[in-house]
Amino acid sequence: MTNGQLLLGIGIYANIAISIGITAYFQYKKLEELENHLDGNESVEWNRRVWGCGYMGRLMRLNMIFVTLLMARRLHRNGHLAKDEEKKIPEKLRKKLLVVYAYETIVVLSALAFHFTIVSK
Amino acid sequence: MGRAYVFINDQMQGDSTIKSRLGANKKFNTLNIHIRNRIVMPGELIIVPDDSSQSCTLEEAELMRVARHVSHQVSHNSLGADGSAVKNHDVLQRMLNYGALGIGAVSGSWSKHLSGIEKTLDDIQKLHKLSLTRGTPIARQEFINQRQVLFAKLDDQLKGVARWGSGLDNRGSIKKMLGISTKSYLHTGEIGNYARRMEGVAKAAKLLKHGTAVGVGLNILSSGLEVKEACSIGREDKCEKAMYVEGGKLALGVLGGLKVGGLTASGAVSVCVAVFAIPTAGWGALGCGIIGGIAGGYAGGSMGEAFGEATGEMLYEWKPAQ
Repeated sequence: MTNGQLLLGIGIYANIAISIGITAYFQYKKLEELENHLDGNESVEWNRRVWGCGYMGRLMRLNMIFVTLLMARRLHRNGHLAKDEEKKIPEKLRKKLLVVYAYETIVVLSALAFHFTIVSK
Repeated sequence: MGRAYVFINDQMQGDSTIKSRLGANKKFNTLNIHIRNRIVMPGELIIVPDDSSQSCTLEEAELMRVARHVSHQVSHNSLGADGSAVKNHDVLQRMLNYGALGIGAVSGSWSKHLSGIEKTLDDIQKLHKLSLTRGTPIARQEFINQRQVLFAKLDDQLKGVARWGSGLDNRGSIKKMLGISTKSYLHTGEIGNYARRMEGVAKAAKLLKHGTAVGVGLNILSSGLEVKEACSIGREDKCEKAMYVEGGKLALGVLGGLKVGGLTASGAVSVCVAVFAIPTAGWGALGCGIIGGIAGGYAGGSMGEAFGEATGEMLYEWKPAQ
């Protein structure tokens, strides 16, 4: 591995650390707000009860809200979500959450690409 | 001067077999008091003494302490006589380390679910006991109705992936699965296999509850052991290098495991929603999240570890000479 590749890797892992921090902010500061907007939703209630309030529990609850936003049409078609129910969450907050997950996905995909093209060779 | 060393017993065998194979002497017997007159299980440590001295060295005393502790762990945790835990130690450790990071959420949720199964089983047990002490026809009908409710609840708790870790195979009648029959209850005073099943469920719940902490703890412990081993050899450069390498592996392995595990958990749920049309509430989504979390945590942890190792080595080479 060259010095440049090492710095690239450090940059990717620094982004992983930053994304863990951003997600933690959402887990502890925004999760309740997001859930309150979807109050009465079966998925929110069930996941809150089952996953609990630990670090990972909050992460999974946030994950489920993200999946609800991402797959809203599919969930509505299958009868698991009322029409436009996800729109109860203000658009700004919805976009923020989607941007955070998009950033996470890019970071993780970069780490994967870096691993298979540089580290494992 | 020679030195004492240990090896891991890889199969179930009597202590006399080991002694005859190694040509044991008095010192061997003293150091291996933890296996005296019994069957030695796979995973237990055997100490081969330093024969240049008859007295017990400090190092040997330390090895005795470690061997005793390991024996206790092996017997306490029932690691199995087939030696699979020893043979698959590397894989198990990796799965436990990084898988546990990804699956972390399970520590709360799945153990809660298993505790729920445990509670239902307990209610069934209580209902059986109560009904048998009363014995009237009305009480019997009431018993059947109540049992039906509990069976329906248990059936729901054991649907699909939700039965994982419970040790219960939800196929056919629940009565048959639990080994419940009034006749056997009257005969033995307890529901057949009940204690064994309860024990299994409780054990799995307990294990999962501490999944993440155990994973991170093991990770730190194994890094610490690697550094300790390198430092005990006595070469300062090896010791320092191990600190860089193991430190890098630990830090980036945990980071990778946490991030990739968390993200793949949500990715797996999305895929399950899209492919199997499951709702985001329920045991199906939970199971998908767990599988995604384990796989991602394992992959991310291994990935981070590999880069951490390379980074540690390069940083060690870069460090200014003192």
